[in-house]
Amino acid sequence: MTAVLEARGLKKSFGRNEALRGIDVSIRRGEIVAIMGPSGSGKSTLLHCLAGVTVPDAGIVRFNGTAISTLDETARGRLRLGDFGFVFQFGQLLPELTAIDNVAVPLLLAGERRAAASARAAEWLVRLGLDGKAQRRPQELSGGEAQRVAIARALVTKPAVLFADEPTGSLDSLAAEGVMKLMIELVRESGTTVVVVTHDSRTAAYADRDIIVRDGRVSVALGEAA
Amino acid sequence: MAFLVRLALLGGRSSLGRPLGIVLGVALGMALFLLMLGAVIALDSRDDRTAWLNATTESSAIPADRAAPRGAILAARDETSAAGEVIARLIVAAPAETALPIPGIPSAPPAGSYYASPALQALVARLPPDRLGNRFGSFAGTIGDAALSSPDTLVAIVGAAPDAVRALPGAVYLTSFAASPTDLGAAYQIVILIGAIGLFFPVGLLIMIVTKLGAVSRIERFATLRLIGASPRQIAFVVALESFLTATVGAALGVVLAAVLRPLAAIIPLNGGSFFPQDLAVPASWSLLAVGAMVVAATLASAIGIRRAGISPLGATRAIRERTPRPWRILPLLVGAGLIGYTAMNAGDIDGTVMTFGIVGGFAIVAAGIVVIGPWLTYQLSGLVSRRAGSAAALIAGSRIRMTPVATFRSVSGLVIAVFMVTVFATAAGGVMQSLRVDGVDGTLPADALLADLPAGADADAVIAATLAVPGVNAVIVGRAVDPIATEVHPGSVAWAAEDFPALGFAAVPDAPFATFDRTSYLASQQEGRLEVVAVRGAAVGVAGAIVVRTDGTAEAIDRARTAIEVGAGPAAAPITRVEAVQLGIQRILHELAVVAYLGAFVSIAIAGCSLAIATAAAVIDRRRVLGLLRLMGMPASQLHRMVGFEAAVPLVGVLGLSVAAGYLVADVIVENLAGGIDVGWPEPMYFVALALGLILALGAVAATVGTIRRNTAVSATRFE
Amino acid sequence: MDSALTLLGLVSLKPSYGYDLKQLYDRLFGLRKPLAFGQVYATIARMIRDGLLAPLGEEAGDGPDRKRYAVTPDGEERLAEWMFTPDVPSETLQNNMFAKTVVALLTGRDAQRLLDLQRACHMEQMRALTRQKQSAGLMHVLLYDHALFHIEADLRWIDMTAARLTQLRAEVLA
Ligand SMILES: Nc1ncnc2c1ncn2[C@@H]1O[C@H](COP(=O)(O)OP(=O)(O)OP(=O)(O)O)[C@@H](O)[C@H]1O
Ligand SMILES: [Mg+2]
Repeated sequence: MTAVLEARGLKKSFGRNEALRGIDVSIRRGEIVAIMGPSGSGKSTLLHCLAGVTVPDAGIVRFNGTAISTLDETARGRLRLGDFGFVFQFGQLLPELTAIDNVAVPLLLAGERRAAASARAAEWLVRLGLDGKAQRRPQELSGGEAQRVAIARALVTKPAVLFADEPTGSLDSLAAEGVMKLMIELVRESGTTVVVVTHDSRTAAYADRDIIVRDGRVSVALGEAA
Repeated sequence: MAFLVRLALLGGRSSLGRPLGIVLGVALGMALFLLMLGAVIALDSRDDRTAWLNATTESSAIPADRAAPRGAILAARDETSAAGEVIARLIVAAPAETALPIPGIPSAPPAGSYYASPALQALVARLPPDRLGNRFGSFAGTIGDAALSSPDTLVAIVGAAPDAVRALPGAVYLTSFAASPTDLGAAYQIVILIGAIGLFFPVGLLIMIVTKLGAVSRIERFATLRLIGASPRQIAFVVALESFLTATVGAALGVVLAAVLRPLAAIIPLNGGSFFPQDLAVPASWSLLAVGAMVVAATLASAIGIRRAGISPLGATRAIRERTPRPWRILPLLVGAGLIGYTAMNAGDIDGTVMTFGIVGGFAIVAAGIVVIGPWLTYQLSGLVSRRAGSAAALIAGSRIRMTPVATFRSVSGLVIAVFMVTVFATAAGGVMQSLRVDGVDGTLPADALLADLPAGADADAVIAATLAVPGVNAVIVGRAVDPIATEVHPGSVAWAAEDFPALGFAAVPDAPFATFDRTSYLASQQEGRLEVVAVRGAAVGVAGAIVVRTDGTAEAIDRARTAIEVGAGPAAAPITRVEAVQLGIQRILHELAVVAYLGAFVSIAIAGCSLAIATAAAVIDRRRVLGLLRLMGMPASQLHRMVGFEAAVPLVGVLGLSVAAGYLVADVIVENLAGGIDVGWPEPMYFVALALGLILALGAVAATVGTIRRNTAVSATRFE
Repeated sequence: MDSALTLLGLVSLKPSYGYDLKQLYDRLFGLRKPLAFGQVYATIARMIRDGLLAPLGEEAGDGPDRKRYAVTPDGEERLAEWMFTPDVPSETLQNNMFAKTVVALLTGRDAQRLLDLQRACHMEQMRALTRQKQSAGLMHVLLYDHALFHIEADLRWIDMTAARLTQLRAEVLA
């Protein structure tokens, strides 16, 4: 199987602080990978590098064989819009928009017409069990509901890769389970690759395998072999 | 508590920008306010200094044909012009033994010499003597500033022989130069007050916008303080303290800034002249009062505002979403319009003060009404925008505005008000200008011509010959005195030969050898119907009584011809062009005011543009997380800019139309009823310049935030987890 | 899990035949290890002996599986006691993993590797359970959750230990 995402020798420092000290990862198409490790080990930084949010100081990131770490911001923006989806711990919904509009935004950004975008957004809200909540604003949703809206928004453009950083970090076990279960069902259905950063082993257990990051390196005991 | 204060005021780098912004904004607002106040006070007081020019019309003046009181100065007051400027002239003959000092000069000028204000002397020096200087004689000295209202004042005190003065119209004996200043009149005061209000709105809005800088991040910080146990009262105290400090420093700085800007502001001509810088100084007690009022208002407003924001330990719940604007917001606009309409309709029946109050008050209420109705219109429009939006930029902008219509409108309100003001003044000025236009109408003095009397005793032939010798003079047409007993015409009428009528500006030649016509209509701006020409029998026509001098129309030729006439026939000849005749009186004042009002409008548009830029940048900084998120999702920077643009455009589009319409109507009502039956027409071209300037400023303000957007939304600027 | 008391609880629902009891037990709890018939009858016999259960009526001539059983008052009492006596948390302070880690540190072996291997094994187990759980009914989901939380507890211990290895080595070697 081909690697959809591949990173070689990633390094990234913030001032004196070396967040990544040479990371190699390879993620196959359709694979669900959990990135785990202690706090401050560089998980989020790795995710941002893989997703073309942050440019690494050294090393290369390839998406479908194209080096994305050398693209300019505009091109990476286009890539993020078209091929990647994002889910974070919280606060990622636009507070001024209703749930349905939040989901429709990426479609509109991609140039879809309003009516079509709204229809598809509504469809996704139903799939995530949010029918009846379409007109709510983020402040009027529970944490779990907001995360499900975020997942709908991340998946509505049918991205090749879904990046999630602590998607269940602010939820209780039951809500976390609901969110993960839905997310996994949906990505399995569409064959989306998922990279999920988490420190919660039950969330990580939904993945096909896990990558342990420790002190800016992939833990060697298992590493990529697993 | 000290800890709390330090934390609240100095917590973090970004919080330093906020007090700094407030201090600067308050200082600028305060300085502008003080300068405006200074100008209003100075307008009232500085005319006292030139009141002495009106002494000849005071009741204490004794007509020249009576017996001369001891030591009285024989004086006549008139006006002459050169290079398009009007010069006030006092012609005096002082007996040697007089003890009456003439204001501004050490002693009365001997016959054949003159004193001039510095501005006039500069003009004299600039123009060749045959254009201006020769009319006055030899220069004896300058008139002191204490006797001048403005550095631009053009005044001459000319010495002449007693007989020559006595022959002038309106000659009197003066025993005192005490006189009351020229009355500005209700119309003038109304316009000045309106101008002050028009400037005051943007200044107030600027201060409001500036004090809301960084409010979001501040509210977050206060929420944290509440979480760790600060009471709402302590928070209110900290906020009030912050306002108190920033307002005090800002206001004090504003006083200094006003003093620094005074020489610059003094250049702006108002009511016929720029200011002496010290005229714009506001008495210290007033400055102190203004500073105090500003500090108290700012402190109270912020303390109350923070309580209303309802900061709970979990953040400002109520601040996130504003209350939906309700339709009652239409009311103030209607009330204001009603007040103006009512006052203007009944202009004839009510007292001047009441009328001033009604018009100015109505105007202020309409302006406030536009500010009040703005959020409601913005809200309505934003609903439409967010429902119909086809792009993410429009959708997000529309939805955001719908949640915060008041704050969104506030950032453009200065511009909206400025446009309202400009419309009022431009429309009014357009109407007035139209009434001042001097067209080449059949039966009026041609624009290139001077009409002058030939007083009895003047050597008509010499005057005519001298005038004809002036370069640029094409013809001198002689009108002859009519014997009023032999003909049924007004005494003093002048008859003109029939063959001269085409040169006089008439299309038709009368079928009598001589004819006369009404002088006032001949000099009017527009001829309604044809001027009635009355035939005069040749037998009744006598000596030369008046001349019409046709020139090549250049200012030089007109000035030179005037000098020749005045030198030959004396100031009593009073040569005048039709432009001068038309622009004398209230209409000229109105015109001048309109020009001044433009200046005010430009200033307020500039302030409003600044406010918009500040507000837009502040909004971007407050929302950098959301904007960064959009960038992260792949929203191109250009779309982000468009979104920010939308947020300014929606309220502008929603309310600009209203302010233009309201401005037009208000101007129509005011001009129609105050300036007597002038219809407002199409605004002057300047109006469109001002409008365009406003829009460019708005665009520029939003464009100026591009850098802020880029810096604050770079995906690395915010951490997403 | 005490299967005898669990059976007693099932009988308290309504007097039942041995066969039905086994079916119900298996459906609810027998996911991994169904009860053998023999075990059911042996347990019933023991509880009759202890006076917790009693056969119902005289349905003559029938074999053991043609008898219905009901809970006696003694049985009810025992059931209530079981139900409302909290289980003492099991004493696992001295478990194997801990021992292995300490020995590895003492003897200079790679303790980190040990923990990583253990962690991988636990994760593998969690992934397997999570996969099964996804297609299970709610009854079994609870069971899987129980197992998952326990493994998670171990994993947390492993992570904490890994994070403190340096400190731990210093203490062990002191
Ligand atoms: N923008 C930044 N500026 C400076 N330092 C940073 C920045 N982002 C990350 N770091 C540093 O880089 C290191 C790795 O951070 P990172 O956010 O990747 O950790 P993490 O594994 O995601 O931690 P956590 O589980 O707590 O989210 C940390 O030491 C952090 O302080
Ligand atoms: Mg992180």
